[in-house]
Amino acid sequence: MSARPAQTECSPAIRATRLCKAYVAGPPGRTLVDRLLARAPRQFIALDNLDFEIYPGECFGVMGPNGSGKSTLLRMITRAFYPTSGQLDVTGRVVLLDIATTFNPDLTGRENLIATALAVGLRRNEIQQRLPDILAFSELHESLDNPVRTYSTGMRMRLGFSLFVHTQPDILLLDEVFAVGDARFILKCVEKIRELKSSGTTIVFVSHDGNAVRELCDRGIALDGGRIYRAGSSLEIVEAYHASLGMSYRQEDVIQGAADTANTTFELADHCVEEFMQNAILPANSEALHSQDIEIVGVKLYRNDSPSTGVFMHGDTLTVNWLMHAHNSHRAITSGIHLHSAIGTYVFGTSYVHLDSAFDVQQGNYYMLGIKVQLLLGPGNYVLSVGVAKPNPDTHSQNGLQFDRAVAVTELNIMQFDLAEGEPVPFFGLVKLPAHAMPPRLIQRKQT
Amino acid sequence: MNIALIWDYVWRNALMQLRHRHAGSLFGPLWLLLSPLAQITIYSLVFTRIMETRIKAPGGLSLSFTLYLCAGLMPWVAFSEHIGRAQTVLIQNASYILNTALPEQVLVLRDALETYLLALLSIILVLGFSLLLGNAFSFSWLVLPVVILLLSTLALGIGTFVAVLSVFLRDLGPILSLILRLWFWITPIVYVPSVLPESLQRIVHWNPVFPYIHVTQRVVLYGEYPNGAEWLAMAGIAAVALSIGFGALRYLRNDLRDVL
Repeated sequence: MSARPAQTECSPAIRATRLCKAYVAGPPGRTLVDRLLARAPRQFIALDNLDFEIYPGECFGVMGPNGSGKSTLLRMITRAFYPTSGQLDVTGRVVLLDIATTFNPDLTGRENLIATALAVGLRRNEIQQRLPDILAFSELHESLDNPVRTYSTGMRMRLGFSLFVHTQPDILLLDEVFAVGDARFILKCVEKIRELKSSGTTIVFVSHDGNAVRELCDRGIALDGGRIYRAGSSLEIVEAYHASLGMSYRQEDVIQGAADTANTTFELADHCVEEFMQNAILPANSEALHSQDIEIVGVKLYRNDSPSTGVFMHGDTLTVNWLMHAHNSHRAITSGIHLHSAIGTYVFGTSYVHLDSAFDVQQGNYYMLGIKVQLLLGPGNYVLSVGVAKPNPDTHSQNGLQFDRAVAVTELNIMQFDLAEGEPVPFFGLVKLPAHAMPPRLIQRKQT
Repeated sequence: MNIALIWDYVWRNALMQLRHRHAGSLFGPLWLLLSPLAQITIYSLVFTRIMETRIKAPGGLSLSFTLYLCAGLMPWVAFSEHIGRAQTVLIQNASYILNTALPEQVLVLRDALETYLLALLSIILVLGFSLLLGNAFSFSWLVLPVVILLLSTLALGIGTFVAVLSVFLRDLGPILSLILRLWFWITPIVYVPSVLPESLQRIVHWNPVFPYIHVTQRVVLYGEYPNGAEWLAMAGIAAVALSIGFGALRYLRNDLRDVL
């Protein structure tokens, strides 16, 4: 567990001690029968032995891939779910906002505000008192008197956020709220969150957005499979989260597997393979097209020549190394990397054949390849894929024979600001193209 | 959440739900009056103009069949509607249940209160209709709010049981509508119990809604006060249903949130 922040000597607002939550799994009808027969129903462990403390006025980030237990944790904090074992102490009134916060579609925005405010435990007169502020914050104006069924997702989020931040909760739980909503409103929300935080509200912020977590949170945890695998400063957990995406650390399995297939070749190779596979990313989403021919067994990233977990600054040099195992001999093959933006735009791809370095492989051998590229990219998340193929000799393109394609091996996160300098990235968009400014030339106005 | 807050929530939401039952429609809350009024009008037309039916009262008086029908039908409609809706109340409000500490009891309580208000409203219309027929006001009418309250408590108990069970058994819906239809016909609402053969008449008394409906009919028609045994039966049945419903909820509460 990370060190507690220095300024807080008071007791924690939320304290989890060996917190476990197991859901009953399987069809509901079976669960009922199991209960009636006093049999233990099938269970699914959502949270496994969590220990953490969150202090009043902190903003605590929770990151992790889908299904890692983030939302379950929030629901436990609201006391909607009880711990299966362990303890969770929560002090104060809690509200939870997520994008699934449902409103009655037939009621108007205003009526829904009142209904939901009652549900989170506000009194009638408190609601009347705060209603003007809530309405003003939401900026929904005339739409407030239209049924919520006519609202967009972003407008619903506005409604929910405006209400919940004005209920003066002791603990505010935010689950992926900035996934919808326009940039200006989000900025306003961020400001409001900061204001609440400084007034002593404890905030638990769940997000996949590394930048938002870094901006807002003091510290936090990264979850995977219901366990905390990293606790610390917000930067640490963002890095840990990005490093965990699209890979699994089944190191032993793979080293074992690699050794099994390779023990007929060189002993030296075994040693190198083993060394490479230490901390390597295993391509989890491998589209093994002809991987009986050539297989990508591991990938490693370096940022400016030191091992990286996926967080980069604009302009950094990225080195991607990957290890291939040739199960058959092939001549003139190529291998390369692809970068896609978070929404799937193919930003950049290059390979050995593009770099005039097509090569041959021999059956049974391992090959370590690498491509070095300067990341002249805008801030945001990018997805890295690695592939190996026999190119079509006429077109140099991917139309040839694909051997193995490790799709979305990992995510690269290009930070908005330079960590050391605090300088923003000096361009707009995804890619920095070479550009020059011409000196301004005065066009004389004609004298009349 | 403390009791006062829960009550605030239950009361406000029941009112709001009543008001918005017909949200989006032209007449809005007016439908709460219009639909029972329309029913009463249709029945009175059918049974006075098309097939004139009168029932013989013990004193040799002949009474309006329409009044008899409405006195039994209005509470039954509120009761059966509550149970029909109870089946989806937890599933529909899953987001509240999963994301807030709101107890499930609050949701079923809110619906029960709404049912009570609705039943009360329609029984008042029936009494108005009775006055219109030329019947005199009777002080025995004042027990009706209590009778309806007990009936709503029975509905709350059965409804809670149904609500909990339907989360686990999602095919309860069609079964339930079948049961409710059958239940309607074994309850003397469109017929008087005396038309039944004697063997069946005894069985009718085992029907848990029978005391409430029977008492309401007798109050409306004859201005007869319920006797002690009837009060005891109504309170007892409601209490048993309530403890079964809330017992099931308590027993399955943890699993319920998992499977929702």
